[in-house]
Amino acid sequence: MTPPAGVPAVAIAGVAKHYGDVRAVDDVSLEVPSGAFFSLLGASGSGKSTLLRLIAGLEFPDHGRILIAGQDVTRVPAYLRPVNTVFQSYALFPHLSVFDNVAYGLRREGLARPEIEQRVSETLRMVAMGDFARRRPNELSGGQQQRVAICRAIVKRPLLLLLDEPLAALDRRLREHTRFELKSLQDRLGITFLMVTHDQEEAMSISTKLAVMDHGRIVQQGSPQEVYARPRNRAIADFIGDANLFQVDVERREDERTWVRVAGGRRAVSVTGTPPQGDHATLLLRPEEIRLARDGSSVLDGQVTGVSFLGSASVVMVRLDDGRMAEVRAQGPAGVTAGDRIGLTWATDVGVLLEAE
Amino acid sequence: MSRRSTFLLSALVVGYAFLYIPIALVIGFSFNESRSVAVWSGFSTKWYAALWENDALLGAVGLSLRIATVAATVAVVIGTAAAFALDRFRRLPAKPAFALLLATPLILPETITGFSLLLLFVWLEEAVGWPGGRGATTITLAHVTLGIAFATVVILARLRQLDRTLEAAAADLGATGWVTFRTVTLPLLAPAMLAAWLLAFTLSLDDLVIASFVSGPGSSTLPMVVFSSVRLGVSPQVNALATLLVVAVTVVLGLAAWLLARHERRRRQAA
Repeated sequence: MTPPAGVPAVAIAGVAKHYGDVRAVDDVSLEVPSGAFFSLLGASGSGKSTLLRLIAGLEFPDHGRILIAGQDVTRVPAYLRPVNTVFQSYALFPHLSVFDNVAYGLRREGLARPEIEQRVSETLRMVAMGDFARRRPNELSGGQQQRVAICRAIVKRPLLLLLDEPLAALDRRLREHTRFELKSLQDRLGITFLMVTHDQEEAMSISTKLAVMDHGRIVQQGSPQEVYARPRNRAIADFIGDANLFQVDVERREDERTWVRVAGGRRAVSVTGTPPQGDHATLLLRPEEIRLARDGSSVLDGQVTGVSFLGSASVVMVRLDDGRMAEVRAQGPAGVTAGDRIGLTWATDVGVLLEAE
Repeated sequence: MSRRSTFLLSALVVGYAFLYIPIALVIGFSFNESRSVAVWSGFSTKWYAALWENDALLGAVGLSLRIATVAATVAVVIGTAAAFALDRFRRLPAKPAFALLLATPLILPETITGFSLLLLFVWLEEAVGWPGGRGATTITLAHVTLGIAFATVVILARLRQLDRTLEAAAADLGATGWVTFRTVTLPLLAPAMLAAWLLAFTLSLDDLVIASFVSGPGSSTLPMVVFSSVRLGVSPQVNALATLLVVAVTVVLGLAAWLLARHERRRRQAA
């Protein structure tokens, strides 16, 4: 069952949910395209989990409408929605075997026994859990429990799969591996995935689109590349990836670029795009956009305080002459050591101008 | 043997001696030839034969078991409902007061409970003509009252620990409220409900004070019969009955432990 082409899997319009005085979700509008791997990214308490529960039907909004595949489900209870959830704690039924856990949703649909058995076995095999059907959840490792939780949700063939921090409870190595498994599962199933996470690396690496939430609002959405390259404000820039933020004075505005002078900098540099209002702004430069310069062409100067060699790249920490720290990411070995005097430079038109502090 | 383990061993022996010497004495003297509880005069099972003929005592056993079964079952049903109300009723005003009121019957002296219930039954009979007189019905009602408080406390403790996400997961998978309750909440609550039932059953079987207040002629429970027979002079038939009860309890406990162990083993084998 897939919605007609062009109809978003989920469309949320002006949804708000208050708990007493707390605005958990504050006037959120959002469209999740059908077939997307969409991430809701935000710190804890940003309202992303509440939004997920509203879509699942486990909570009802105070205002606004929720449409799933074009159908208004704002007041439809959870058990009637074509949506299934992978809970953060997995929420496997401890009194049922793996098989019965996965079969639970199909039994509620009143399907015939042979069909249930066939679909459950097929789905368990898909995630390599076929040999564990008779075990109880407490006899499985965290990673196995997670796969059962995913099975239990996708066996119902929902229009939309909701994932609430699906990787948070796994250890680091398993998390990175499972990330790619999730992605390939989504490719095979063709179900729209909506994932909630506080881990920006996770969101960037598997999502086709993401939305950043803060204080119950969506502050920016777009593809991971767009949000990384053009964060709307300092908070998002800081949250998505590593960021160097420099205070700058606006010197000259042209049609498509702006000339700015970095505080303590030797010369003005150009940035594409129009800056915010006023004479002051913040310049965002990603660590990989800055180059080390030893030939006097530098914009800023400082002293290397530390170098970490990561194999394919090196991260160089530099204390600038005005005392602020900067992070530079160079390909391969950096060729500098702690204590070296060094200059920093970057290509013309690189960087993003944001509101001043 | 080190001094430490000698000390631990003596502590163990003294502790269990305190617990089990009285019971061992009862069992031992149930096989005594003589009527005396002080003098051993040879092995005999005649008191067991006499017990088999003693309709009053056996009748009391039957009555006690019937009352305990009904009272425990009703107490668990009402106790479960009460626990749900206390846990899930979000806008219940003065919730702490309700929790406190729940604990009160647990610490109220039995004489007061018994007396107040007697007063209630007498007043009810005057006012609405029910229950007519006092007997098995009034004892059962009194034991339900006592059992509800205990059952609610036990079930509420488990209900508060229950992971509400499991119920959310059931709803998410297509279960209505009632189906969620039947397939998720109730099975997870079952051990606590069984514990509550056994507790209420034991309390009822054990109760002498409240039953004495609210019973009527011809409806004497086992503790009442035993107590009154002891006042007239101890009959070794009571020892025989006590021995049978100890054996029954041991068998039931042993069976439960064995079933649990087997269940666990099967699960491991299945896995």
